[in-house]
Amino acid sequence: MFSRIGLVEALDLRNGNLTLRSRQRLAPGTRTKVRVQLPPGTGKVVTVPIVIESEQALAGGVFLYRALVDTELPAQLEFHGHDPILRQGRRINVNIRARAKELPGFQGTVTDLSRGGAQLKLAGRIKEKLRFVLNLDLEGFRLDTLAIPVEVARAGEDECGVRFLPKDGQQQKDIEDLSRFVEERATSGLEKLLNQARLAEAPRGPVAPPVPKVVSATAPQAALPSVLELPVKARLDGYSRNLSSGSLYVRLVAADETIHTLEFPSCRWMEDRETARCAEVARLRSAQADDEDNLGPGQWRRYGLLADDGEVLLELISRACKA
Amino acid sequence: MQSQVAQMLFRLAWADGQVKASEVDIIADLLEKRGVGLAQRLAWMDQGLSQPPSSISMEAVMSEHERLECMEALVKLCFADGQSQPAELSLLGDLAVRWGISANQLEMLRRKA
Repeated sequence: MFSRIGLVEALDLRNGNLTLRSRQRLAPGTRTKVRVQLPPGTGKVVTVPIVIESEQALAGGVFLYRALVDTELPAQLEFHGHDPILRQGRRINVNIRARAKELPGFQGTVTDLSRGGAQLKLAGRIKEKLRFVLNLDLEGFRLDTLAIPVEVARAGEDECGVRFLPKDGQQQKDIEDLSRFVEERATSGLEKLLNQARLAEAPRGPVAPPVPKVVSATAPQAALPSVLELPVKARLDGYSRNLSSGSLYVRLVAADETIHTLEFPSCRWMEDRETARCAEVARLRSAQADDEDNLGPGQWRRYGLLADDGEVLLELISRACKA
Repeated sequence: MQSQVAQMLFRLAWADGQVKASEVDIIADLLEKRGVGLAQRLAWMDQGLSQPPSSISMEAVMSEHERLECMEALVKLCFADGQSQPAELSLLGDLAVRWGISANQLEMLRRKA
Protein backbone atom coordinates (compact mmCIF):
# COMPACT_ATOMS: atom_id res chain seq x y z
CA MET A 1 0.00 0.00 0.00
CA PHE A 2 1.23 3.54 -0.68
CA SER A 3 0.31 7.13 -0.04
CA ARG A 4 1.51 10.54 -1.06
CA ILE A 5 3.04 11.35 2.29
CA GLY A 6 4.66 8.05 3.03
CA LEU A 7 4.43 4.31 3.11
CA VAL A 8 1.38 2.81 4.76
CA GLU A 9 2.71 -0.21 6.58
CA ALA A 10 -0.45 -1.53 8.10
CA LEU A 11 -4.13 -0.77 7.88
CA ASP A 12 -6.54 -2.32 10.30
CA LEU A 13 -9.99 -1.64 8.94
CA ARG A 14 -11.75 -3.34 11.78
CA ASN A 15 -10.23 -1.20 14.49
CA GLY A 16 -9.68 1.92 12.39
CA ASN A 17 -5.91 1.99 12.89
CA LEU A 18 -3.20 2.79 10.41
CA THR A 19 0.58 2.75 10.60
CA LEU A 20 2.50 5.08 8.33
CA ARG A 21 6.23 5.47 7.70
CA SER A 22 7.18 8.89 6.40
CA ARG A 23 10.01 11.41 6.18
CA GLN A 24 7.53 14.23 6.69
CA ARG A 25 7.08 15.64 10.17
CA LEU A 26 3.46 15.36 11.26
CA ALA A 27 2.46 16.53 14.71
CA PRO A 28 -0.01 14.41 16.67
CA GLY A 29 -3.50 15.69 15.92
CA THR A 30 -2.66 16.49 12.29
CA ARG A 31 -5.41 15.55 9.85
CA THR A 32 -4.29 14.35 6.45
CA LYS A 33 -5.14 11.79 3.82
CA VAL A 34 -3.40 8.72 2.53
CA ARG A 35 -4.06 6.69 -0.58
CA VAL A 36 -4.09 2.95 -0.21
CA GLN A 37 -4.71 -0.05 -2.39
CA LEU A 38 -7.57 -2.16 -1.16
CA PRO A 39 -7.39 -5.07 -1.07
CA PRO A 40 -3.57 -4.98 -1.14
CA GLY A 41 -2.16 -5.91 -4.52
CA THR A 42 -5.23 -4.85 -6.48
CA GLY A 43 -5.52 -1.76 -8.65
CA LYS A 44 -8.29 -0.25 -6.53
CA VAL A 45 -7.02 2.88 -4.81
CA VAL A 46 -8.98 4.77 -2.21
CA THR A 47 -8.24 7.93 -0.26
CA VAL A 48 -8.47 7.55 3.48
CA PRO A 49 -8.65 10.52 5.88
CA ILE A 50 -6.57 9.96 9.00
CA VAL A 51 -5.65 11.72 12.26
CA ILE A 52 -2.09 11.30 13.50
CA GLU A 53 -2.20 9.88 17.02
CA SER A 54 1.42 9.27 17.92
CA GLU A 55 4.86 9.33 16.39
CA GLN A 56 8.09 7.49 16.82
CA ALA A 57 11.39 8.73 15.40
CA LEU A 58 13.37 6.10 13.51
CA ALA A 59 16.87 6.22 12.12
CA GLY A 60 17.65 8.27 9.00
CA GLY A 61 15.10 11.01 9.61
CA VAL A 62 12.18 8.66 9.16
CA PHE A 63 9.14 8.74 11.42
CA LEU A 64 6.72 5.97 12.19
CA TYR A 65 3.22 7.30 12.80
CA ARG A 66 0.23 5.63 14.30
CA ALA A 67 -3.00 7.15 13.06
CA LEU A 68 -6.72 6.73 13.48
CA VAL A 69 -8.79 6.36 10.36
CA ASP A 70 -11.05 9.38 10.55
CA THR A 71 -14.11 7.98 8.84
CA GLU A 72 -16.61 5.20 8.95
CA LEU A 73 -14.31 3.30 6.70
CA PRO A 74 -16.15 0.01 6.23
CA ALA A 75 -19.30 1.87 5.19
CA GLN A 76 -17.44 3.93 2.59
CA LEU A 77 -15.47 1.18 1.02
CA GLU A 78 -16.52 -1.79 -0.96
CA PHE A 79 -13.81 -3.73 0.77
CA HIS A 80 -15.62 -5.63 3.46
CA GLY A 81 -14.06 -8.94 2.61
CA HIS A 82 -16.55 -11.71 2.03
CA ASP A 83 -17.48 -11.92 5.64
CA PRO A 84 -20.95 -10.49 6.37
CA ILE A 85 -20.01 -10.20 10.01
CA LEU A 86 -17.62 -7.42 9.11
CA ARG A 87 -20.60 -5.13 8.77
CA GLN A 88 -22.01 -5.86 12.19
CA GLY A 89 -20.42 -3.73 14.83
CA ARG A 90 -16.86 -2.99 15.69
CA ARG A 91 -14.52 -5.95 15.71
CA ILE A 92 -11.88 -6.25 18.38
CA ASN A 93 -8.70 -8.28 18.15
CA VAL A 94 -8.75 -10.85 20.91
CA ASN A 95 -7.09 -14.10 21.85
CA ILE A 96 -9.76 -16.33 23.37
CA ARG A 97 -9.64 -20.11 23.56
CA ALA A 98 -12.64 -21.74 21.96
CA ARG A 99 -13.81 -25.33 22.27
CA ALA A 100 -16.35 -27.38 20.32
CA LYS A 101 -16.42 -30.97 19.23
CA GLU A 102 -17.10 -29.83 15.65
CA LEU A 103 -13.81 -27.88 15.47
CA PRO A 104 -10.68 -29.57 14.06
CA GLY A 105 -8.82 -30.85 17.12
CA PHE A 106 -11.90 -29.84 19.13
CA GLN A 107 -10.51 -26.38 19.70
CA GLY A 108 -9.55 -23.07 18.12
CA THR A 109 -8.65 -19.49 18.96
CA VAL A 110 -10.98 -16.55 18.57
CA THR A 111 -8.84 -13.85 16.97
CA ASP A 112 -11.46 -11.14 16.75
CA LEU A 113 -14.94 -10.66 17.98
CA SER A 114 -17.94 -8.40 17.53
CA ARG A 115 -21.52 -8.46 18.71
CA GLY A 116 -22.52 -10.34 15.60
CA GLY A 117 -19.83 -12.96 15.33
CA ALA A 118 -16.23 -13.95 15.58
CA GLN A 119 -13.26 -15.07 13.58
CA LEU A 120 -11.45 -18.24 14.60
CA LYS A 121 -8.01 -19.64 13.91
CA LEU A 122 -8.30 -23.39 13.49
CA ALA A 123 -6.10 -26.45 13.11
CA GLY A 124 -7.85 -27.33 9.84
CA ARG A 125 -10.82 -26.66 7.59
CA ILE A 126 -14.42 -26.60 8.71
CA LYS A 127 -17.64 -26.79 6.65
CA GLU A 128 -19.55 -23.65 5.80
CA LYS A 129 -23.11 -23.35 7.16
CA LEU A 130 -22.27 -25.81 9.92
CA ARG A 131 -24.13 -25.00 13.14
CA PHE A 132 -22.78 -25.91 16.57
CA VAL A 133 -22.27 -24.56 20.08
CA LEU A 134 -19.01 -22.70 20.58
CA ASN A 135 -17.60 -22.66 24.11
CA LEU A 136 -15.41 -19.66 24.94
CA ASP A 137 -12.95 -19.76 27.85
CA LEU A 138 -12.92 -16.24 29.23
CA GLU A 139 -10.49 -14.51 31.53
CA GLY A 140 -11.36 -11.44 33.55
CA PHE A 141 -14.99 -11.46 32.35
CA ARG A 142 -17.87 -12.00 34.77
CA LEU A 143 -18.41 -15.44 33.22
CA ASP A 144 -15.61 -18.01 33.08
CA THR A 145 -17.12 -19.66 30.01
CA LEU A 146 -19.77 -18.73 27.50
CA ALA A 147 -21.52 -21.25 25.24
CA ILE A 148 -22.90 -19.61 22.09
CA PRO A 149 -24.75 -21.30 19.21
CA VAL A 150 -23.00 -20.30 15.99
CA GLU A 151 -23.13 -20.85 12.25
CA VAL A 152 -20.04 -20.94 10.05
CA ALA A 153 -20.45 -17.97 7.70
CA ARG A 154 -17.11 -18.26 5.96
CA ALA A 155 -14.48 -20.98 5.98
CA GLY A 156 -10.82 -20.86 4.97
CA GLU A 157 -7.97 -23.37 5.13
CA ASP A 158 -7.23 -22.81 8.80
CA GLU A 159 -9.73 -20.17 9.83
CA CYS A 160 -13.41 -19.38 9.75
CA GLY A 161 -15.89 -16.65 10.50
CA VAL A 162 -18.91 -17.57 12.57
CA ARG A 163 -22.19 -15.76 13.12
CA PHE A 164 -23.65 -15.81 16.61
CA LEU A 165 -27.14 -17.28 16.92
CA PRO A 166 -28.19 -16.41 20.46
CA LYS A 167 -31.02 -18.60 21.63
CA ASP A 168 -32.59 -16.04 23.95
CA GLY A 169 -32.35 -12.52 25.30
CA GLN A 170 -30.03 -13.51 28.13
CA GLN A 171 -27.55 -15.04 25.72
CA GLN A 172 -27.75 -11.95 23.51
CA LYS A 173 -27.02 -9.82 26.58
CA ASP A 174 -24.07 -12.03 27.53
CA ILE A 175 -22.63 -11.62 24.03
CA GLU A 176 -23.12 -7.86 24.14
CA ASP A 177 -21.51 -7.68 27.58
CA LEU A 178 -18.56 -9.72 26.34
CA SER A 179 -18.22 -7.54 23.27
CA ARG A 180 -18.30 -4.41 25.43
CA PHE A 181 -15.76 -5.96 27.80
CA VAL A 182 -13.23 -6.72 25.08
CA GLU A 183 -13.85 -3.34 23.46
CA GLU A 184 -13.22 -1.49 26.71
CA ARG A 185 -10.08 -3.48 27.22
CA ALA A 186 -8.98 -2.77 23.68
CA THR A 187 -9.31 0.96 24.22
CA SER A 188 -7.57 0.96 27.59
CA GLY A 189 -4.07 2.17 28.17
CA LEU A 190 -2.87 -1.40 28.08
CA GLU A 191 -3.94 -1.84 24.51
CA LYS A 192 -2.15 1.34 23.52
CA LEU A 193 0.92 0.00 25.23
CA LEU A 194 0.64 -3.27 23.38
CA ASN A 195 0.14 -1.44 20.12
CA GLN A 196 3.25 0.58 20.82
CA ALA A 197 5.17 -2.63 21.31
CA ARG A 198 3.63 -4.09 18.15
CA LEU A 199 4.56 -1.02 16.15
CA ALA A 200 8.15 -1.28 17.13
CA GLU A 201 8.41 -5.03 16.97
CA ALA A 202 11.56 -5.80 15.12
CA PRO A 203 11.24 -7.34 11.68
CA ARG A 204 11.68 -11.09 11.58
CA GLY A 205 15.32 -12.06 11.85
CA PRO A 206 18.13 -11.86 14.36
CA VAL A 207 17.76 -9.12 16.91
CA ALA A 208 20.78 -6.94 17.49
CA PRO A 209 21.79 -6.76 21.15
CA PRO A 210 20.75 -3.50 22.79
CA VAL A 211 23.40 -0.82 23.01
CA PRO A 212 23.93 0.31 26.60
CA LYS A 213 22.58 3.79 26.94
CA VAL A 214 21.90 5.96 29.93
CA VAL A 215 18.91 8.23 29.87
CA SER A 216 17.90 10.80 32.36
CA ALA A 217 14.78 10.27 34.36
CA THR A 218 12.12 12.84 33.70
CA ALA A 219 10.56 13.37 37.08
CA PRO A 220 11.55 16.93 37.96
CA GLN A 221 8.10 17.70 39.28
CA ALA A 222 8.06 14.69 41.55
CA ALA A 223 6.51 15.16 44.94
CA LEU A 224 9.00 13.93 47.49
CA PRO A 225 7.38 11.77 50.12
CA SER A 226 7.69 13.50 53.48
CA VAL A 227 7.82 10.15 55.24
CA LEU A 228 8.58 6.76 53.75
CA GLU A 229 7.45 3.67 55.60
CA LEU A 230 9.08 0.42 54.56
CA PRO A 231 7.69 -2.96 55.60
CA VAL A 232 10.04 -4.92 57.87
CA LYS A 233 8.17 -7.67 59.76
CA ALA A 234 11.12 -8.85 61.85
CA ARG A 235 12.17 -9.05 65.47
CA LEU A 236 14.74 -6.62 66.83
CA ASP A 237 17.60 -8.75 68.09
CA GLY A 238 19.74 -5.88 69.31
CA TYR A 239 21.97 -3.05 68.25
CA SER A 240 25.57 -2.05 68.69
CA ARG A 241 27.67 0.96 67.90
CA ASN A 242 31.12 1.31 66.43
CA LEU A 243 32.52 4.24 68.35
CA SER A 244 35.31 4.97 65.89
CA SER A 245 33.13 5.11 62.76
CA GLY A 246 29.96 6.24 64.50
CA SER A 247 27.88 3.60 62.71
CA LEU A 248 24.96 2.03 64.51
CA TYR A 249 24.28 -1.62 63.58
CA VAL A 250 20.75 -2.88 64.08
CA ARG A 251 20.22 -6.64 64.03
CA LEU A 252 16.85 -7.92 62.86
CA VAL A 253 15.66 -11.52 62.92
CA ALA A 254 13.30 -12.43 60.08
CA ALA A 255 10.46 -14.95 60.29
CA ASP A 256 12.76 -17.69 59.02
CA GLU A 257 15.20 -16.89 61.88
CA THR A 258 17.85 -15.42 59.58
CA ILE A 259 19.66 -12.44 61.01
CA HIS A 260 19.99 -9.26 58.99
CA THR A 261 22.18 -6.34 60.00
CA LEU A 262 21.31 -2.83 58.91
CA GLU A 263 23.99 -0.17 59.23
CA PHE A 264 23.14 3.42 60.01
CA PRO A 265 26.39 5.29 59.22
CA SER A 266 27.51 8.29 61.27
CA CYS A 267 24.65 7.93 63.69
CA ARG A 268 24.34 11.33 65.40
CA TRP A 269 21.47 10.65 67.74
CA MET A 270 19.56 7.61 68.90
CA GLU A 271 16.76 7.08 71.38
CA ASP A 272 15.59 3.69 72.54
CA ARG A 273 11.96 4.23 73.42
CA GLU A 274 10.05 1.01 73.60
CA THR A 275 12.30 -1.88 72.55
CA ALA A 276 12.02 -3.37 76.06
CA ARG A 277 8.22 -3.46 75.71
CA CYS A 278 8.06 -4.76 72.17
CA ALA A 279 10.75 -6.09 69.86
CA GLU A 280 8.55 -6.86 66.88
CA VAL A 281 9.34 -4.32 64.16
CA ALA A 282 6.59 -3.81 61.61
CA ARG A 283 8.02 -0.95 59.58
CA LEU A 284 11.05 1.28 59.14
CA ARG A 285 10.08 4.92 58.90
CA SER A 286 12.47 7.11 56.96
CA ALA A 287 12.35 10.88 56.49
CA GLN A 288 14.75 13.65 55.68
CA ALA A 289 16.20 15.11 58.88
CA ASP A 290 15.39 18.74 59.59
CA ASP A 291 17.99 21.34 58.67
CA GLU A 292 17.59 22.88 62.09
CA ASP A 293 19.27 19.88 63.64
CA ASN A 294 22.61 21.34 62.42
CA LEU A 295 23.91 18.01 61.32
CA GLY A 296 26.42 19.30 58.82
CA PRO A 297 26.62 19.12 55.06
CA GLY A 298 25.10 16.33 53.04
CA GLN A 299 21.89 14.44 53.49
CA TRP A 300 20.82 13.14 56.86
CA ARG A 301 17.85 10.99 57.57
CA ARG A 302 15.66 10.43 60.57
CA TYR A 303 14.73 6.78 61.00
CA GLY A 304 12.24 5.11 63.27
CA LEU A 305 11.60 1.44 63.90
CA LEU A 306 7.84 1.13 64.34
CA ALA A 307 5.72 -1.48 66.07
CA ASP A 308 2.56 -2.82 64.46
CA ASP A 309 0.46 -0.21 66.31
CA GLY A 310 2.66 2.61 64.97
CA GLU A 311 4.52 3.11 68.25
CA VAL A 312 8.13 4.24 67.75
CA LEU A 313 10.43 1.62 69.25
CA LEU A 314 13.79 3.11 68.29
CA GLU A 315 14.54 6.43 66.68
CA LEU A 316 17.77 7.77 65.26
CA ILE A 317 19.39 10.22 62.86
CA SER A 318 22.16 9.08 60.54
CA ARG A 319 23.31 9.01 56.97
CA ALA A 320 21.33 6.79 54.58
CA CYS A 321 21.23 3.26 55.88
CA LYS A 322 23.22 0.44 54.27
CA ALA A 323 23.02 -3.33 54.22
CA MET B 1 20.55 -8.48 38.27
CA GLN B 2 18.54 -8.00 41.51
CA SER B 3 19.87 -4.49 41.84
CA GLN B 4 18.83 -3.69 38.27
CA VAL B 5 15.35 -5.07 38.87
CA ALA B 6 15.08 -2.98 42.02
CA GLN B 7 16.20 0.15 40.19
CA MET B 8 13.65 -0.46 37.45
CA LEU B 9 10.90 -0.96 40.03
CA PHE B 10 11.83 2.30 41.72
CA ARG B 11 11.88 4.06 38.36
CA LEU B 12 8.43 2.71 37.58
CA ALA B 13 7.10 3.69 40.99
CA TRP B 14 8.36 7.25 40.38
CA ALA B 15 7.02 7.36 36.81
CA ASP B 16 3.93 9.33 37.79
CA GLY B 17 5.87 11.66 40.07
CA GLN B 18 4.90 10.14 43.38
CA VAL B 19 5.32 6.90 45.26
CA LYS B 20 2.20 5.46 46.85
CA ALA B 21 2.28 3.45 50.07
CA SER B 22 0.75 0.50 48.21
CA GLU B 23 3.62 0.61 45.70
CA VAL B 24 6.13 0.51 48.56
CA ASP B 25 4.52 -2.65 49.92
CA ILE B 26 4.34 -4.29 46.49
CA ILE B 27 7.99 -3.55 45.75
CA ALA B 28 9.03 -4.95 49.13
CA ASP B 29 7.03 -8.08 48.42
CA LEU B 30 8.47 -8.47 44.90
CA LEU B 31 12.05 -8.02 46.11
CA GLU B 32 11.51 -10.46 48.97
CA LYS B 33 10.16 -13.06 46.57
CA ARG B 34 13.22 -12.53 44.41
CA GLY B 35 15.42 -13.44 47.38
CA VAL B 36 16.68 -9.97 48.28
CA GLY B 37 17.54 -10.03 51.99
CA LEU B 38 15.79 -7.79 54.47
CA ALA B 39 18.68 -5.41 55.14
CA GLN B 40 19.55 -5.05 51.47
CA ARG B 41 15.90 -4.53 50.62
CA LEU B 42 15.47 -1.80 53.20
CA ALA B 43 18.65 -0.01 52.14
CA TRP B 44 17.76 -0.11 48.45
CA MET B 45 14.17 0.98 49.03
CA ASP B 46 15.18 3.78 51.36
CA GLN B 47 17.61 5.05 48.76
CA GLY B 48 15.42 4.51 45.70
CA LEU B 49 12.02 5.57 47.01
CA SER B 50 12.97 8.59 49.09
CA GLN B 51 13.82 10.63 46.01
CA PRO B 52 13.32 10.30 42.25
CA PRO B 53 16.13 8.54 40.42
CA SER B 54 18.42 11.05 38.72
CA SER B 55 19.50 8.69 35.99
CA ILE B 56 19.10 5.04 35.27
CA SER B 57 20.28 2.69 32.60
CA MET B 58 17.23 1.66 30.62
CA GLU B 59 19.31 -0.73 28.56
CA ALA B 60 20.08 -3.14 31.34
CA VAL B 61 22.78 -5.63 30.51
CA MET B 62 20.65 -8.69 31.08
CA SER B 63 19.94 -11.89 29.26
CA GLU B 64 16.62 -12.31 27.48
CA HIS B 65 15.36 -14.48 30.33
CA GLU B 66 16.41 -11.89 32.90
CA ARG B 67 14.75 -9.12 30.94
CA LEU B 68 11.52 -11.10 30.88
CA GLU B 69 11.78 -11.72 34.62
CA CYS B 70 12.38 -8.05 35.22
CA MET B 71 9.46 -7.09 32.99
CA GLU B 72 7.24 -9.54 34.85
CA ALA B 73 8.04 -7.77 38.13
CA LEU B 74 7.40 -4.38 36.52
CA VAL B 75 4.08 -5.48 35.06
CA LYS B 76 3.05 -6.83 38.48
CA LEU B 77 3.84 -3.48 40.07
CA CYS B 78 2.07 -1.56 37.32
CA PHE B 79 -1.15 -3.54 37.49
CA ALA B 80 -1.11 -4.56 41.15
CA ASP B 81 -3.62 -2.01 42.38
CA GLY B 82 -5.68 -2.06 39.19
CA GLN B 83 -4.94 1.61 38.56
CA SER B 84 -2.06 1.76 36.15
CA GLN B 85 -0.98 5.32 35.37
CA PRO B 86 -0.35 6.51 31.80
CA ALA B 87 3.24 7.40 32.70
CA GLU B 88 3.80 3.90 34.04
CA LEU B 89 2.33 2.32 30.92
CA SER B 90 4.47 4.57 28.77
CA LEU B 91 7.60 3.49 30.64
CA LEU B 92 6.62 -0.17 30.34
CA GLY B 93 6.05 0.25 26.61
CA ASP B 94 9.38 2.01 26.22
CA LEU B 95 11.18 -0.78 28.05
CA ALA B 96 9.35 -3.46 26.08
CA VAL B 97 10.48 -1.86 22.84
CA ARG B 98 14.07 -1.45 24.03
CA TRP B 99 14.24 -4.98 25.36
CA GLY B 100 12.60 -6.57 22.32
CA ILE B 101 9.64 -7.89 24.30
CA SER B 102 6.70 -8.52 22.02
CA ALA B 103 3.12 -7.50 22.58
CA ASN B 104 2.11 -11.12 23.06
CA GLN B 105 4.77 -11.64 25.71
CA LEU B 106 3.60 -8.47 27.48
CA GLU B 107 0.02 -9.62 27.40
CA MET B 108 1.03 -12.98 28.88
CA LEU B 109 2.91 -11.23 31.68
CA ARG B 110 -0.09 -9.00 32.37
CA ARG B 111 -2.32 -12.03 32.66
CA LYS B 112 0.10 -13.61 35.11
CA ALA B 113 0.27 -10.41 37.18
